[in-house]
Amino acid sequence: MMRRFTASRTFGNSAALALLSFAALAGCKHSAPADAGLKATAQGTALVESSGGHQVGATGTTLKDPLVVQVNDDHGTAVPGALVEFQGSAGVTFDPAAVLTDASGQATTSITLGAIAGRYELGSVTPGKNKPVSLAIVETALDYQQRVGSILADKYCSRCHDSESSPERVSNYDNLEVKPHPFTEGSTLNKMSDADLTSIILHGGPALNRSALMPPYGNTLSAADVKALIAYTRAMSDPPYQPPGTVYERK
Amino acid sequence: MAPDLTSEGSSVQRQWLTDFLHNPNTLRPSLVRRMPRFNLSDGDNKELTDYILTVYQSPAIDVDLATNDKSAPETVEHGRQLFYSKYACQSCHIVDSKADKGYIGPTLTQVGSRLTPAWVYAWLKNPQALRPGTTEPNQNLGDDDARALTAFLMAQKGPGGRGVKQ
Repeated sequence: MMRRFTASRTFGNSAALALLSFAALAGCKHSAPADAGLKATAQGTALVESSGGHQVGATGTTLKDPLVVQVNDDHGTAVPGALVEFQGSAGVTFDPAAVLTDASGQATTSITLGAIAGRYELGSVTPGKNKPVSLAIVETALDYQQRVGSILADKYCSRCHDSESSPERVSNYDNLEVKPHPFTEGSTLNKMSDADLTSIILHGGPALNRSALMPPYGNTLSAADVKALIAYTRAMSDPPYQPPGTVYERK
Repeated sequence: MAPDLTSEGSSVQRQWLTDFLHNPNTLRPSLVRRMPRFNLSDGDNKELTDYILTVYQSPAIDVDLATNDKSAPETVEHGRQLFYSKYACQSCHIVDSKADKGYIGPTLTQVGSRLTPAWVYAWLKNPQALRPGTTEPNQNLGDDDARALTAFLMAQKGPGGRGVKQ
């Protein structure tokens, strides 16, 4: 019997490495607490994300925008002087890792991603009045191929597939009769196989009986470009893309 | 920042170039940067137009190509169908300013008064050969499709001739 394995892009491969990192971090924490010298003067009961979540960066780099979370009380009023600790997985570092909220109840930190590409589920915790309150933060680290894909997507795809306009790039999304799927739309794109995505990029929408408003790029992009674009869309997908697992061939 | 003009002389028509140098309307609304208006005198304008049309020629563009202005109406209609249905160019280009909305590529409402048929044909066949790195996809058009599309585009003379805003 033959077995084929499909490489996984999640952290599964590096579980051992991650475990080691956790052990190392935990060790550090005991010897030198990150919140040394920080005296909380107040406690909140809720933690909300203000900005800096869902960013995308290259592995091992510091994300462009800082992460800002806000501590609120029961009435939704911002709480200054509350302690917020940030927790990461596998090599993610925060500067600072623990901070007191400022006058507007906000805690700010900058995030440096780990060396492994993928989706990072990070946490922030504030002690709270009775029990700790935590908030999950998601950031994405891109490897080389995915970064190549992101550059290509910026040039060829985003004007239609990204509905947000920026000062440098006006979006064409609203002008299209059949709306393109944003690359973050996992509910649709996760159902499409790599072969489907390759077809639609190479031959345009009609290849999969979809809209001709999606033009063919088979004579414009190289095979490597198309692979990079697919790797990038998979990395951006929300909910996250699950690559097909081990495939056992039938006899 | 600004377009490469190496082959501009093969690309545009004299009247359009003169008008454009007098008052550079934007061709690409999605771009942020604009060409300034230089307030050229008629003499300077003519000299610059002559220079561009004479020197900035591409040997790859055959200006005497058979696609002429007076294509048969059915060829133009065939081109219209290819434009809207098969290749769906309206996702990025505007030909009918009331119905089309795409504005990634240049507006084509008066492209027939702006570009030479030979340039349009060569562009449709292989955009990257004329402007490396352009986002216009190479659709791998057959000769007949490219000819019909060129006929359709060259029939787009604009609403009111010169000076009309796009």
